Amino acid sequence: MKRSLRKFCLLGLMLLMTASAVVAQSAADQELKAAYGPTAAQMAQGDPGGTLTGTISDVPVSNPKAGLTVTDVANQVGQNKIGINFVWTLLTGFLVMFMQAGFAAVEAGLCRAKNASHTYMMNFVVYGIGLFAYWVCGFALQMGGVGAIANLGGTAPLSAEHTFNLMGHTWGLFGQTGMFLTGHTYDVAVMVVFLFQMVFMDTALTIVTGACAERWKFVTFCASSLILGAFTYPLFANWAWGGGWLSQLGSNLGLGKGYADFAGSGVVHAVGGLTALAVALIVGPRVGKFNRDGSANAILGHDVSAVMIGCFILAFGWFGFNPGSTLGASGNGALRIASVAVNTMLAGCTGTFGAMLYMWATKGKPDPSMTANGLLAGLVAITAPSGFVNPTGSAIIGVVAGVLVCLSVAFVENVMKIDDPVGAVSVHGACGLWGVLSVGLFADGTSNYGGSFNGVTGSVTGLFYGDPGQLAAQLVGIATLLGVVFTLSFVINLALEYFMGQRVAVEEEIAGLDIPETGALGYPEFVLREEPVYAA
Amino acid sequence: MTSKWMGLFVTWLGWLLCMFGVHMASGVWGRIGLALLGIAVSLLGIIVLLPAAMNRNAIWKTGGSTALTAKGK
Repeated sequence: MKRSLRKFCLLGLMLLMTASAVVAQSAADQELKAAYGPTAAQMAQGDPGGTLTGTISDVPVSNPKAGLTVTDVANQVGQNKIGINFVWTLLTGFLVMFMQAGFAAVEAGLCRAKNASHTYMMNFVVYGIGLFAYWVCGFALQMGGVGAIANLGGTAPLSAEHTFNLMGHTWGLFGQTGMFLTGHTYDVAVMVVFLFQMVFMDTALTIVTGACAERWKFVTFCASSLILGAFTYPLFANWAWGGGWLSQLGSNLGLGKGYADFAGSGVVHAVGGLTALAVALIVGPRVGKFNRDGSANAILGHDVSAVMIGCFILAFGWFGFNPGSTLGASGNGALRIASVAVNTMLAGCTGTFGAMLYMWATKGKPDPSMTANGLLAGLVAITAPSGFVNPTGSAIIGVVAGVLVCLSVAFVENVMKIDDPVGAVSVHGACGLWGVLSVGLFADGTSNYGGSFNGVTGSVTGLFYGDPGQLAAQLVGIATLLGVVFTLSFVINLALEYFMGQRVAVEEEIAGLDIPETGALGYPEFVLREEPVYAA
Repeated sequence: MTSKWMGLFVTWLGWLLCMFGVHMASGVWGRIGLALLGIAVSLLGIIVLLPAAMNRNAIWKTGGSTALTAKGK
């Protein structure tokens, strides 16, 4: 009897709630019908103050007979939110795309005039090569199993991740949908994700060209970049961003919120920097870089103005790189874009100071190229933590990166005896790894991207704010970059060395690569100064 | 060639050590310790073993056609 009474009461309550909701919606619908926008006559007068444009008249009506309803308004609100996020993500992606111009200027400026055309050509062509590789299979491997992204309306077609079981847990390995963007992935939200992720991947590819400039065979560069864009980069990016096993370290093993890399200090810069190191090891140093006793000679670049302007272009593009990685400007904590942008600025600033002051103190002069590299070092380092740290943390991260890049450049050249004409290994490799580590130290636990990160409730919090588990997750990411990404890149490029050869002939290198490799001089009307003669 | 592959193996071994630690160590500090050890082993491969292997017959060491003598300078 009691049970029946309870059921009856529950049913009555539900009916009452439904009825009141219908009545409320109906009342709201009536209110909407009574509302009106500016008249045609008013609009015909023009709207210089902007007060008549964009009103209730602009909300689409799904059923003309019923007129404007609450459902219509709610649908428009939803579309506005997703529209804002689409535009934000696309625009920031366009900014990142423009970074290619910055990289080209920096790298060519730090190389000699006789190799300018070859260096610019590599930076130009890598865009198309990377895009093609990513369209064919790279995007599918990286994002094919990412699942729904709430800020972009839910990219449901990207839902097939290849997984494996280990010690009672399921781990993601690579995505399986989205090759050639066909089938269900012919979808507007998927296109936004593709564009944004593609320009990130291309940034990683162009890092390698700097470290191997002035002696890398153009055809081998094409093959190496194609493989990096199709396989190596997408694999690690899947593990970190595409729902793969690194991002599951939190949900499966309780390590913080899993590997956290907000905009890619690890995924983009460390992958590019470590691949650059692998290829530079195989290609070997430029003619004349090292003397027989192992001491290094400075081989100066030809255009410091290109270097400086290129760095500013990169700093501008970084406002796409980091703030864009919220994948939206509305909803799920995306308003943190303001903090992300300021953090990006600050770390670039302190990175510049760090490098400039270090060089000034140790060498007596504020070296221009190292100061420029200091700016990039700060920006690279803040890329991973930009979404999780406060301004003080970002300033510290930047200044450490600025000093680190100076120490690393000297170490790579004088201890490892590796020739890196632009300092790419140090800027992107060393400072990228520092950026990944700094998340585990400085993340302050205030970010809130929809209440969870990598499927774990709460905010990313580093060791200094009470979560050593996050530091452990970041260390696993660093170990994977060193032990897997570097090793894979080395083996792939060793195979290319065997089958194609990585390096141009000595005579071509001495003459300059512009004519032998590209058929066109960078500066045809210039008379180039004669260089030291190299003994046969 | 052997030293090259040895360097690569040590680099990869560091990652294996880290993964082993993450799954086997019980506390978070144990995991951090083993991850750091794994990173150190990988760095040994990358910073010490591989450059030594790749530079063993470097052209600037052997005094081949690319050694700078700055003739005419």
